Amino acid sequence: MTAVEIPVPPIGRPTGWWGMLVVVLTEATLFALLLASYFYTRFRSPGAWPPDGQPDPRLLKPVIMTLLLMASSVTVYMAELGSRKGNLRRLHAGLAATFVLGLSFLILQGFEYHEKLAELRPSTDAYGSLFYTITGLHGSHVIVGLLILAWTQFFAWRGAYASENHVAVQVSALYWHFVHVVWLFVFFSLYLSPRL
Amino acid sequence: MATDVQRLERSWAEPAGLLAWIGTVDHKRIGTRYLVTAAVFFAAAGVEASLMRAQLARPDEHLLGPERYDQVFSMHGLTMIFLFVTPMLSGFGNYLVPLMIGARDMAFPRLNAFGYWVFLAAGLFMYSGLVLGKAPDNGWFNYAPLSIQPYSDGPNIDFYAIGLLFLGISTTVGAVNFIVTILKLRAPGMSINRMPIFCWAILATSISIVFAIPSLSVAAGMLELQRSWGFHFFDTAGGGDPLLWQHLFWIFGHPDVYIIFLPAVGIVSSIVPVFSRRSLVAYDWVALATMATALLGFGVWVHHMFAVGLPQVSLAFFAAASTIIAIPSGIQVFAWLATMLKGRPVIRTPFLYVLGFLVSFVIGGLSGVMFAAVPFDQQVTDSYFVVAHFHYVLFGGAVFPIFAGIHYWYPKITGRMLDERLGQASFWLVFVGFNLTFFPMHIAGLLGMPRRVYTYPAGMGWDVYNLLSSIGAVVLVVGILVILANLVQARFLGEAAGPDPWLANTLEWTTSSPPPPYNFARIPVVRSADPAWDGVSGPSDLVLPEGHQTPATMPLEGDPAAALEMPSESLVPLAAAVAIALICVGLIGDLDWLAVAAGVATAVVLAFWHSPREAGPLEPAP
Repeated sequence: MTAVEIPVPPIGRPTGWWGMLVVVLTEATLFALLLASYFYTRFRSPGAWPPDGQPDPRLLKPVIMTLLLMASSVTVYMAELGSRKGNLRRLHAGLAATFVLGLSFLILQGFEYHEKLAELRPSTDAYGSLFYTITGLHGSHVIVGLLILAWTQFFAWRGAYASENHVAVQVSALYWHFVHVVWLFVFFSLYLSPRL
Repeated sequence: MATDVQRLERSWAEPAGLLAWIGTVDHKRIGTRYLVTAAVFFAAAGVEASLMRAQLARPDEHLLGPERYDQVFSMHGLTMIFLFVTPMLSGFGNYLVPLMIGARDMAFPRLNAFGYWVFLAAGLFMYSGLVLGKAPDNGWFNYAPLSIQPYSDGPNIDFYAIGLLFLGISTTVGAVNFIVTILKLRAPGMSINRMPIFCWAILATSISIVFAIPSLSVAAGMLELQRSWGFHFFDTAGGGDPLLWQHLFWIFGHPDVYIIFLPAVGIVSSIVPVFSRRSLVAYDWVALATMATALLGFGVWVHHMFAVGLPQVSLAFFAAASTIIAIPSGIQVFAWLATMLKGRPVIRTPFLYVLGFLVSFVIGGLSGVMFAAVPFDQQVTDSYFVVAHFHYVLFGGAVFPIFAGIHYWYPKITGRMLDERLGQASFWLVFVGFNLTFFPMHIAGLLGMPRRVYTYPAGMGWDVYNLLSSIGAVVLVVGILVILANLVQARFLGEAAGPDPWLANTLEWTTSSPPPPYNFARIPVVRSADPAWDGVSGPSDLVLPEGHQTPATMPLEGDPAAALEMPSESLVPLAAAVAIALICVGLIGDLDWLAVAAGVATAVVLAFWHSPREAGPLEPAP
């Protein structure tokens, strides 16, 4: 009979991380197709873009929002390192900072919508529909990300993630990095590209 | 050591009782549920098909009115593709993949249960439309602008859009589960080049799903936003474009053909070596061809749109790509033929169905290559020729292998043998009925009969072909009833199968029939692609008797990496599926409060699901 030895401590990435990686791939495809639909509609529509003399999207708030998300990707990485190295203070601080940055992003997006809805609504035309569908879907991913972070934070405070048990932190962080990276594509496509 | 196995049996024994039965996370039970549920949907689609053949048996028949007929053919297509073939193959995958790779369960057992409940709920949701007389009525690919107001005012298309979004969750989580299971849970020593071809097929399919389903979800989501919330995507008046729907749908739709087809040929690659009594010829090429088909499947979608009026450059590119995709299919066909030639074939029912598959699939493949020629495609688009073609590919290419798989693995699942004479009789009825039903459609199509007409006048020259098709349908139905009778009688009267009635080559045949809840008392060690034949693979000393554990290995090499703690029975997946189903009900019934409340409930259930306590024992903080 062949002897099989299971290594202690275990080697390789945990299954949860692999699972989240595949989820991120399918979600990334979702955004890629939405952005492709945006460009398809744009290049099939005659005349200027945005259509009907609408102004290009204003950049101040979206630029700040981009910086907030970039920073949050760094802080969530700090949290990850903290949990891996068993540094619980860094874990708590990293998660809390990420949560605050993400929440600020959402609040700014709320203000941006409030301002923008006065001139462009989802039902105005295909441009408006695509703009609000894509940014709205991204916003809902930020909300889900914040809920995941809050949930992870809650259990981190209760001491659930010592160094051997940091899968949840790693998986939440992976999702949050995705939310950040996909925003860069959204930002480039919806806010910057009409000005090119 | 014996005590270790006794401890294993105690820790994996499933508690009695209804709640434990409902909440099971055993991949074998969930797999069986998928198989049975999909078979029920197959019966429903069969009734719809019979109604259509009754309607078309002779000219000027008015058994069904045009509205009903539209709903019946739409639901037939939707059911066959989304509620029968895909979940049926998912059922085979769920039941077999862990057994074939020597694991004790899927990587995410509760996610597996969740996927099943969502599939069931989404199926019932779509069928509730039919019960209300408001089923989708715009065909399975549901082109805009017919799918939007003012052309489709009722809730029919909402059942389509919301139903497919809902079902997409099930398909996606299933694919995630298969990918991680196949990459991480293979038995020690099963490096990726020793994996059964069936697992390669499930892996390729799952990867296709991960990248294809988002396109359907985007399309269905946009459609629902347009229909219910006044968004503009597919209407030119609002600056949209109906062609966008066609692109998005077929970016999903053509890979979906392979999502259906690849697991089916995985079944074929499992059966051919066993009944040819030798290893599969050109294993590496078949594995590569499987992955290549999945990849190329993403580059051919425009051949569904050759008659739309696209630029010549697109047509030329996609015509070339559509020709190339015949190559990997050809490699597989020749590998099976070579295996049969080099082996000593034993003709039993599963093998007969495989032969039936080969004949019909090659015919369907030939008419498929014809569509790659743009002028020919433009001539026969939307005619019965297309209907004939895709039934040869889908019924021939997927349903024959499914029947082969049922006859092949039934002894493993139930522990009983099917009756061989009934099996062979069913094969000939199905084979003759199938060809008689669908071959005349080629001719009717070339004579100009359009698809999806609810009736036709006499004197068009189509009468005799339609009558033949309808007679063929009767034979086909009789054949399927014989299969059913065989399955039922064997459950009670069949001979005991024993662990390995076919003297087969893969790991599922090295454990009892049906397998125990933990699949393998001793985790197998694998040394080749035919572990039950090679004489050197076999059980190891690894039992992992504590709790619910299965080993994880490294994705490529298959070296041991960890021992994973697996969850036990749970009602949380069912609760999550019900909560999401209520969101769908709220959306279709315009009950905003219900949709919002159910959304909150979903979040709460998912949060509970993902609390560390639920996931496993807590590590105390240092």
